[in-house]
Amino acid sequence: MDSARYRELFLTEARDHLVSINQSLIALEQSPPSTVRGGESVNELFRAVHTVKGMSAVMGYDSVAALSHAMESLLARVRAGEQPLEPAHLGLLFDAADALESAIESSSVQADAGPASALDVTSLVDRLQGRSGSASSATPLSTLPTVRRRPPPGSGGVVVSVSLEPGTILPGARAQLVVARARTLGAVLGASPDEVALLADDFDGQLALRVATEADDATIARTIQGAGSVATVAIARDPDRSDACENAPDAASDPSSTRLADLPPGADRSLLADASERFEAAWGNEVLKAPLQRYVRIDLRRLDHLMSLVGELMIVRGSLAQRASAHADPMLDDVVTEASRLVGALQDGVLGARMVPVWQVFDRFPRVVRDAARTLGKDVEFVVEGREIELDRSLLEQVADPLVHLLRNAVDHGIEPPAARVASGKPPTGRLTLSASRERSAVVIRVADDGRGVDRDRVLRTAQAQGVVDAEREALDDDEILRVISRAGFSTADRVTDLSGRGVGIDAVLSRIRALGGTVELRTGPGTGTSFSLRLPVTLAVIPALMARVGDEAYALPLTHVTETLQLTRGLVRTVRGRDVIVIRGEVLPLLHLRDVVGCARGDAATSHVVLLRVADRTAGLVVDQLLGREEIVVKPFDAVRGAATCFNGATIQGDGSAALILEVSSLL
Amino acid sequence: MSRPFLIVEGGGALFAVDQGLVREIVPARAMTRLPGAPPAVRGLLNVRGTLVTVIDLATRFGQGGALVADPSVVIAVTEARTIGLLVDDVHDVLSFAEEELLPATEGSSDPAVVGLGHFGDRVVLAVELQELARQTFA
Repeated sequence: MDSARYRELFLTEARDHLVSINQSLIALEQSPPSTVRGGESVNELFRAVHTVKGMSAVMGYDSVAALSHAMESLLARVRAGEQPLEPAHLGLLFDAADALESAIESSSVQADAGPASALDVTSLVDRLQGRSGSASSATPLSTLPTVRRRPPPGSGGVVVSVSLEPGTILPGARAQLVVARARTLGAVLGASPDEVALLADDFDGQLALRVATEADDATIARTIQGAGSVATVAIARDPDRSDACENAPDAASDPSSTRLADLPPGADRSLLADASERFEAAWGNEVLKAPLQRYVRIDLRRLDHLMSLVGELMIVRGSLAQRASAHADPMLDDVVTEASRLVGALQDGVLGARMVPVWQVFDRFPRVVRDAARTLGKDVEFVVEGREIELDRSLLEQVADPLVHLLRNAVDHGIEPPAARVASGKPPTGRLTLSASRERSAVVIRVADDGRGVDRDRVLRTAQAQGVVDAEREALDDDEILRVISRAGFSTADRVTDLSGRGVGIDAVLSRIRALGGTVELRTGPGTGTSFSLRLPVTLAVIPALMARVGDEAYALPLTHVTETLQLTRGLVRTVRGRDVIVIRGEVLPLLHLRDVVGCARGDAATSHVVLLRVADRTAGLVVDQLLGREEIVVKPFDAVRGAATCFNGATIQGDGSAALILEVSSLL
Repeated sequence: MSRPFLIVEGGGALFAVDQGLVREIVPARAMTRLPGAPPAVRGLLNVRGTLVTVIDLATRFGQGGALVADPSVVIAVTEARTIGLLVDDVHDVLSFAEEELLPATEGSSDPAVVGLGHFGDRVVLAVELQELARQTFA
């Protein structure tokens, strides 16, 4: 198997399974395996771990396979009721999930670094198998019946006896590789121990296969050695008598095959007769075939390419309509209108293909919140709302980190310890809500807690001490609080915890969200909690914009930052300390001139307009010559030129084929 | 060892650029000015949906001179960056050996100038496009 071809697929699938492993673990923590829900969680957990094991064994990622195998073995005993699931086991499984994650990530980077990274997981594997560690000392894990060495069942063919090197990590998976390699020589007529017993914990690394092959001894030995970790290969060509057959018990009555019952329901027993078919099952059924039924994974670059083609088509549509209107031909107009409609539908389709539901990222967070709450000794109920809301995939990826920060921050600084909550008349368990919702052309993601709220006085005093707020101020509103706490280096935390409170973070969150064309809003009340609302454009590829003109140049102003537009009249503009300001509803706002920004002499154009721009809590007026109207624009990046104004990072192509620069409002204000 | 160079003319002066980096030559349509950029940067040109930064060779290398009414843009790719060269005319492809290029006496401090060569009885300024791109982009 060409593992390079499957590496990326493995990684994507394995990450998905990790998310479900973590979800099941959290569910198990809340309801024990004896309950219906807990029982389902054990099953889900088992299936996910089992699939990861199969996939990683095929890929030859030994440490991943070893860990998932050890997890699977523990879970199999829990499923069978042989082993109660104790909190220590759960902790062990959580640790194993983390180790599995790092093993998966590193195995895909360096596929051949099996032995080196395998060492790191050995102790965890041992603990999972109950060889050492706290979990097993309290409750010794049940032992399995010993498998008796037998010659492989069946007759004819060549009997190949293989010993694996002592200390081989996950000998069962290695033995499966041996079986798979043997199959390349010819049909495997029988195996001892049988294929299922290979997976047992007590498999001793000795196996014998009966292979129908014409290959010479050297070829057989070389092929088997190719599986790796093979110490010796012995080949016997005397055709076994049928008494071997009689000696070999039927698989169903074989004590070692009682574990068959532990196999997941999806795994057909007949498939397990042969190792390589089982490998097919791991890849074919669970990995490759299932997603193809409804979904395909597409490289984002392909979607980007489609998007850019559609963008060009939109431009062609514009000039086509322009030219057609000159002909005054109703038939031509009809065709152009129809083509126009189809291009619009195509654009919607391609944009839709880039959209993914937020749960693809949100589902990682229950684990984040759980870990944070445990570390800090808080009781937190985590609620996720609007999982199905869709967002452009590249945007969603980029908000993941800021959200992790806000969630940890809420657990750390927002939600009080249980005793403090009870003392202030609240339930001991804090509530943390992560929600997504659509609001017009934006998606709003909100992180809200019911904790103590931001200490306004404290923020005010700290801000005054740092000289960022006038000493005579007596109160700060929510927007001012956000501005103060998002200053780099600002922290009111009593103590610096592992999770937050180092005074970095909120500023990083804000700058990331702004870079994405979004805004952040803070609302906080003493004792009632704090919420951060991130308002994001639905997609980065196409944005609604207000087109404006200065001189003979057109510029695009992203609508997410435009709050209103008004005609510029003489009385509106005042000068304060040599700077232009504009007074709107009693509020004094700085006034910028787009002509100054783009280095155009200020003419006295009779029809000047003011566009009010807002980024987070900052508002300013921007004077333009003329407003050209609202458009959905396709954003095109270009290489930054040395010395050029930094507030232009993208442009859009207009109907006449020329480019109009897009003003990055956040770097202007 | 000699390399093929594309000989172009801008503002009355001749320039030679590495033919291997040239992708195509397109008519210079309306370009979008980049505020704050140096005078030699003429702006962004839309080449089938990709925005290419265009540099006026004559202005860049101090050869002044007004461009003709119908200029062209030579599109070249260097180190994954696409750069456009605004020129009046495209002449021919010539091969120069390294030793045929004389060190430039004036402007020799400019690392974007490889040296001087001959095109008939005229002098050609050989331009290093990679260096030109490095100097242009941030």
